[in-house]
Amino acid sequence: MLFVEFRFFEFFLVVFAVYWTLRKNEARLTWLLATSYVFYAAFFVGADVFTGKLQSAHWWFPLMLAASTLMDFVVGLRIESARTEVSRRVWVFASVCANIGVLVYFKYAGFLVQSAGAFAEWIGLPASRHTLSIFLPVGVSFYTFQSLSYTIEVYRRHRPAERNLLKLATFIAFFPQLVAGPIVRANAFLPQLESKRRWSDVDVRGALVLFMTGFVKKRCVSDLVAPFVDPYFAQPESYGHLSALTAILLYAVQIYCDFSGYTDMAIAAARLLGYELTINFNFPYFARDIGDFWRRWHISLSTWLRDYLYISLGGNRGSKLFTCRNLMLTMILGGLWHGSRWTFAIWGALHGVALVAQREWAAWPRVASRLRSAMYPALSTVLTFSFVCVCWVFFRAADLSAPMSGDDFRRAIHILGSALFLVPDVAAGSSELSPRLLLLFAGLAAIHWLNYRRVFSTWWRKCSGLAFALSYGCLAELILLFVPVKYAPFIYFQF
Amino acid sequence: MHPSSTSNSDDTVGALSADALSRGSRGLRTLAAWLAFGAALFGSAALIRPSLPFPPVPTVREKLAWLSEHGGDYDTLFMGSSRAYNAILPDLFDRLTAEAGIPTHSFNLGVNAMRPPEDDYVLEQALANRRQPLKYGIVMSIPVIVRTDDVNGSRRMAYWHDLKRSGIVFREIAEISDDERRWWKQPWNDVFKPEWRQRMWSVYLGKALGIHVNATLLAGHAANIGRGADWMDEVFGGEAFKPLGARGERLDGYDRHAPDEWISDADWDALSRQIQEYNKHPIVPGFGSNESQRELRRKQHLIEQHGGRMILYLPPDPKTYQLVADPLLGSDIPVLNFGNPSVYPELFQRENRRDVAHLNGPGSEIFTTLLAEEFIKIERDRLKP
Repeated sequence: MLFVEFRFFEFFLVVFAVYWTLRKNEARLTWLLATSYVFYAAFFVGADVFTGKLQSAHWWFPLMLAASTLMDFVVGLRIESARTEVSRRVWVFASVCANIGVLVYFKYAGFLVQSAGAFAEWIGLPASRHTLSIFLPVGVSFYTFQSLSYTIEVYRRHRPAERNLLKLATFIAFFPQLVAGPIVRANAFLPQLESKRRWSDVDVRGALVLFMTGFVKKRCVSDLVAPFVDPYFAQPESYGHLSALTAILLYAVQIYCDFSGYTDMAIAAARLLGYELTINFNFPYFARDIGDFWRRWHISLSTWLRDYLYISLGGNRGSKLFTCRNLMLTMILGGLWHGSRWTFAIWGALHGVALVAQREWAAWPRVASRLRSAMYPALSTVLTFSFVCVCWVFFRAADLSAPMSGDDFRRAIHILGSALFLVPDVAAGSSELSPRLLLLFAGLAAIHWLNYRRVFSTWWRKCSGLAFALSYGCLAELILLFVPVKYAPFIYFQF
Repeated sequence: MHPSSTSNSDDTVGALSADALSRGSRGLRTLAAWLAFGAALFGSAALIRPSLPFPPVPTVREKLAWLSEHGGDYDTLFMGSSRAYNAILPDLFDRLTAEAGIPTHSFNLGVNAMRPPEDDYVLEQALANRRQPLKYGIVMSIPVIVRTDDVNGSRRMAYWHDLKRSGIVFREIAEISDDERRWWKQPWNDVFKPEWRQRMWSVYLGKALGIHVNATLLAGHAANIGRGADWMDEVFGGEAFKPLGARGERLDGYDRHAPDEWISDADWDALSRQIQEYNKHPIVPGFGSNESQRELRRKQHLIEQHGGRMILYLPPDPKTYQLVADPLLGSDIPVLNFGNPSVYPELFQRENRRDVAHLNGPGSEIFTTLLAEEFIKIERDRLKP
């Protein structure tokens, strides 16, 4: 059940109406938990309406979510009641192993088997080209990280163990953020479950406008450019230089609008139920350097990796080489979190190298300060965006539906070569993306910049309720008019 | 009673009624906001709709665009699904009718999988700006079918779902069949029998799903969902508006299947079984649901409004769609029944079939010839002094 589907609106309307009718907090949480599991099960279980038979090969995935929750509930209590530091470590290690184990099995088992086979072949050992195909349950990367954050927080004594299973289960399964984040921290969300939310505290207009913004990003922008970007990345050899450039720029638009659109809708849906989720994006394409980019892009994942991986590895508490190693490891693992492809690792490694280079650059204050002219902010923004786009090529080049091969890497190199006019334009004219798409990109960039400069005022907060409803209705019509008939699933659902 | 308790009680009542009043006014405000939202959404959609191009529904758009320019050249329209679109050759039909002295100039308005009430919408659009009188509307007989598939990503399901056509679908869903009436008269403990449960599930859940799907489509149609995106797609060189050869080689709406398409062994076995079954237990064409009858009459009325005469035909298919007009309702719609394999064996021979339901190229020519012959016969009978 996607946020942009009509059935989600029906589902949400029922959840919303019943939720605010219930008077007790426990009843509300029970309702939220039950509906969150229904929401999750809807991805795997369907019914044939003409026979009434349930159809699902993966009916047990919601049970896996429940088992993971139960395990972390027990582990949290055990960590808290442990008398020695060793037993605390044993329990947190068990939680990390179990959660990461689930993730490794579903996301990386096939990858590891294939890589081991390729490695054995490379060193001359007899190896079979065995492939392992495992269905990846949607949301597993997100809820395992969320669940892990809870046990690590308890282990670090940043919060007490949760004694109410209902609250912990609601925290992990809360449907607005269950399948694609934001990855909410226990410290940020569990306290919100302690007390009954009040309707008078809900910023209804803000939530409705945010939901509409997310819907526009996903349905009117991401889904509009997807039919042009996807065929290009499937067969870049059939296109020329200009198409390569257009496709790279549009993919940057597509992935941003797709993911941040989803996040906006998730935050808005949670807000309408009285809960606040972490922000996940803050105009990342206006970042002035790569460090700044990671403070603005997928914030909940980057801070998770910083707090639980980079710092656990030692952070910058050591030599320069040690810090660089930690940065590279964090970024490569962050890349591999997206999926079991070497191109994801390359994407992470490129960002890691950029972060290391940035640290070195910062160590040369004289040169840096001389370059800080009036043009510096604009130039650095353009350079950062260009670098991010180059990295996106590796990120997008992987064909996740096909078995892993060197084709992903070759495809990425070809696309970059084509965009930089380094490979001959043999296929020019055979199939090209319309140059008008560059105008579309420019238009979208201009709107985004205006939004960044806060040009769109908050007039909708000041007008009367009736005027707001009328404007919202007219805007909704304008948006629905430009919603493409076909929609693509959210890109981050596959991670 | 202690005075303070009275005063407290009054205060409580006062507070409660104030609270109730405030809740009431909040409820009214919410209702007003919802109404304003709906009015703004659907009102602005209604204002915009006339200026939008016809949605890029394959075949339908091309045929209607052609008829809007050249509709006056034709006096006979064939309506139906792929059993009409790929099986009736207007060129051959017109030649035979001219030879018989009942000249026609026909256009094949058939579209793959087009059923009522979609065909009702298409016919209405085709006749909308027509000034010249129509002679005949030769319509393939199909009952109203409530479809619950192709909801997501289908312009085809949404474009005809206006209030009028959605009303037809909803009335069809609401209709209680004779079967259902019989079930309700069964002893109550039959409810626990598995076959009853199965039937109830399929009928009532099917109805619920039908209402849901068609209400969604009606809302989508009313809000013009995606109509601007189609235009954007055209601007950026997408797929939606790429022209199709739907008007056929002779621009008469007929699209011939590839001539080398022959029925597969499996399909032939299935068709042979259906023919045997038909020969044992011939299907008597029925009157279908009340809504199907009303739908037939609506089409008849529309054709007659434009000066034409409606003729129904049953396609060469021994299994499905054996619907005819109910004479008790005062109709004189002639019916040409090609569904009987023993009357028209040539239409059911292997070399003339493409699959269980469709004829191939040579089969289509035979079918058109038979259709023309039957048509000439009934017209001669009618025109006899």
